[in-house]
Amino acid sequence: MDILVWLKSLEETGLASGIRDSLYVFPILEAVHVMALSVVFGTITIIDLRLLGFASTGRPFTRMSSELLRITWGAFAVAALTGTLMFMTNARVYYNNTPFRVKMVLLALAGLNMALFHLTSGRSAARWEKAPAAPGIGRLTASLSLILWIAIVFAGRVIGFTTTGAQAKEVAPPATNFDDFLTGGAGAPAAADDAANFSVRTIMAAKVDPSADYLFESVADIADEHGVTHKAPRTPAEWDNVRHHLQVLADAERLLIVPGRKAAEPADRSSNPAIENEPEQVQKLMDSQHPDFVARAGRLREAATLGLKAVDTRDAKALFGAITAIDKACESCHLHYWYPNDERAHQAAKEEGGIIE
Amino acid sequence: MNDFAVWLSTTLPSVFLQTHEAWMIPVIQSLHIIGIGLAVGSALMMTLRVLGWAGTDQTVRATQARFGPWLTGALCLLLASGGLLVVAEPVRELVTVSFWVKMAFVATLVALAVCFQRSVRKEEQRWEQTLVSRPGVRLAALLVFVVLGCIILLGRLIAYDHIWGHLSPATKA
Repeated sequence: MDILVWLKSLEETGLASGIRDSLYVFPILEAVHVMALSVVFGTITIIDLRLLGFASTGRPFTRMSSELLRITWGAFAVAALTGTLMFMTNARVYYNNTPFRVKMVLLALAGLNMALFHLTSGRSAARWEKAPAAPGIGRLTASLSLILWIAIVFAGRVIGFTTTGAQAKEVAPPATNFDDFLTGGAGAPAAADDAANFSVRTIMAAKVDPSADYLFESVADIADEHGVTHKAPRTPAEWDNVRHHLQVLADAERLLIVPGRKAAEPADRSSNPAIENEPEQVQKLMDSQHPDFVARAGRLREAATLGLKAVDTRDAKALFGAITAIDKACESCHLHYWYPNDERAHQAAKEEGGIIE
Repeated sequence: MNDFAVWLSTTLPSVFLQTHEAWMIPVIQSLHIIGIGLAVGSALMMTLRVLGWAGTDQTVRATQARFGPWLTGALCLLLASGGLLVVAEPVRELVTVSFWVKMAFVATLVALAVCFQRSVRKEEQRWEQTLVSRPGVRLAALLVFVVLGCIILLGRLIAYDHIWGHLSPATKA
């Protein structure tokens, strides 16, 4: 069986997806992994320093090792279990990750090193265990053990910094024909009239959402297994992409406020009627409060324009602020027209200062 | 605190660390974990000895003499590497509830360690005979396990501070 197929099936198990879907399980697994590895590393260091004759030189080695290695192995089992569970959530990415592979090789070497010790100095421990240090080969394996375990810690930490790229979603630039058509771009001379036939929902799905998603992804504090990473455009090409998507949002105002714009296509229904308005309810609100709708669309343009200025000056902080403002403009309009009965969304928006009345 | 964190992130050392963050942060974090390993190992040995669960061939005083300085050294390494991490990413650290609760637990651990080490040096004899069987002392020893666990848990949760929801200042920033 192909290893990648097997790894994929590992990722698709209920256990793996359960860990992925939970907000809490992965961080807790990581924390328990650190607790376990600190016990493994701490106890192994104590043994190695004893073998080298640096510390605890007065204590008989076998007494120390029989006491400590129980703790080491127990903690190692916990580290292996939590490590395996974390691996399952993203098996193919870790499998292809160089620091992960290096760490596995180092762990195997640490195991071989330990076997070497047990076959050599470990066997004759009764003869030297009261001496301040182990014989030559015992000291060699102790040095190797220290180096290997320090390297294992480093490799393990680097995994979290090198798997981001492999997971990042590819966001395609939105230059589709449909897009040109809606914005009155190159391929659509009659756009201004025809675009009026599209509903708000269609414009959102085809234009606003993809561009907003791109922007939210391009500057964000991303919280995942790698910790919180601050992301901002770096290359000129990335800044240009951000500019393009900001332009799409700035232009969206013009499309959204066309008089007579329908809220949704005739066949559209709410996918979550318990908290969302049905299209006809949204329509009613839009029709009766058209000036308010226009003002809210204007806030989207204003926020996007701020973002365009930030792109001009390559100001990542100002861009972050502008994109936050875009998020708030979207959310406050959605709260008003789309899901006014969603208490949780209202609460969240209030906490984030996102309510703009 | 928010303003201080933003100000700190504009200082020269912080900017230096940020511009080299691709390798500086993982290296400092790894050193921090090495420090955690040394601190946990040393604290574990002293605690297990007080509880009489390991190392009973040595006196409490001898165990403290062997591992006390290592715990102090490890805590210094942790303070230095942790300090660098705060300078490198002030907003990530200082504006999280996890960081400050972790600091409270670190203070608790340091207080326990200082009291224990001073007391063992002063009252060597009492530690060997009576103090190790006192319920209060045994409770304090068990507390060390809890405090160490909480420090590690919260340290990792700094990266996931949003799970505290509305408690976390980071989600409001």
